[in-house]
Amino acid sequence: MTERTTTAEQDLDVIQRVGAGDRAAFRALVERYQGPLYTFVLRMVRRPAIAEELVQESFVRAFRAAPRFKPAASVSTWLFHIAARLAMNEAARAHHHHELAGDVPDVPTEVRGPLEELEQKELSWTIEEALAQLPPQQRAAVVLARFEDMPYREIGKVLEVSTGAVDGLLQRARQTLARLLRPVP
Amino acid sequence: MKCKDTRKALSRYLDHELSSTETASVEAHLAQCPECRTEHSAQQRLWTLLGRAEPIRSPDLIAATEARLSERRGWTAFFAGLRLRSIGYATAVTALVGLFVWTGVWAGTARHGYDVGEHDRSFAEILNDTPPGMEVAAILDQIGEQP
Repeated sequence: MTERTTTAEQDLDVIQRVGAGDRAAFRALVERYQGPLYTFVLRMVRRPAIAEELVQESFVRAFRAAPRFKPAASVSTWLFHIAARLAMNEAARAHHHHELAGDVPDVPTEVRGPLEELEQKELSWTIEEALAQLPPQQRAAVVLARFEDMPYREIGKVLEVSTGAVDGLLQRARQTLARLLRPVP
Repeated sequence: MKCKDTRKALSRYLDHELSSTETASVEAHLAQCPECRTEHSAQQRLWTLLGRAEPIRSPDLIAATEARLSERRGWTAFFAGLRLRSIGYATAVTALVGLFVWTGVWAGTARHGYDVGEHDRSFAEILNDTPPGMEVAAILDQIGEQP
C-alpha cells in the first residue's frame, strides 16, 4: 500500500466522521489541510487577511457538505475545489479591479546572512509578482502543478476543466512567466 | 516527432504527464534537435526558478475556524428552528389576526346596533313608549292644535 493510498483512506475516514458531526475529526481535517490551502489561497488572492477568511470559509463549507461527500475525488482535491471556487472569485474580482499589489507573504526565516536574506526575499517577491500577473485560472493551475505537485487530472477536477484545458492553461502560463522572469538570473 | 509536436508536449513532459511511449518520442526528438533542447532547458529553468520562492508559513487557523463553524451552526440551528416552527407560528399569527379582525367587526356592528337601539329606546321612553309622531299628535290634540 502506497503512502498516497494510506493518506487517501485516512482522509476518507476523517471526512466520514466530519459528516457525522464529529468536531474532533473536523479539527484534524483543518490541522492537516490548513497549510496547503492557505498557501494556495494566498497565492491566489495575495492578501493574508482575505486568505485566512477564505480558508476558514472553505472548511466551514466542507463541514456542511461532508455528509454528501462522494469518494469519486480525493478529499484533498475536494477541499482544494471548495477553496479554489472562493479564491478564484476573489482573484477575478481583484484582477478585474487591477488590485494586483499584495502583501509580502509571511515566510519562514532561516539562518542566513543579511545580504542572502535580502536577495532571497527579492527573488521570492519577484516570483510572487510574476504569478500575480497571470489570469486567475492560469495562476491556480501553476500553483497547483508546481507547488502542490498535483496531477493534471486532479487540477482539472479542482478547476472544473478538462485535462487538455489544464495543459493549455499551463502552456500559456509558462510563456507569460518566461517573459516576466527573463531578467532573473 | 516534429518540433511543433515536441514543443506542445514539453509542458506535460516536464510535469511527468506523458505516457511512456510519448516520453520516449519526446526524448528521442530532444536528443537530435538543439532548438528544442534549448526550449526544454528554458522551461526547466523556469520551473526550477518558481520553486525557489520561499515556502509560505500558514497561521494556525484551527481556533478561528472552529469559532466560525460554531457561530454559523448557531445561526443555522436558529433558522432551522424557525423553519420547523414556522407552520405553528403562521397558524398562530393568522388565528390572532383573524380574531382581531372578527372581534373588531363584531364589536363595531354590535356597538352600532346598540347605539341605535339605545337611541330608539331613550327616545321612546321620553315619549312614553309611544311613537314620536303619535305622541306629538296626541299632545296637539289635547291642546287643541292641529298637527
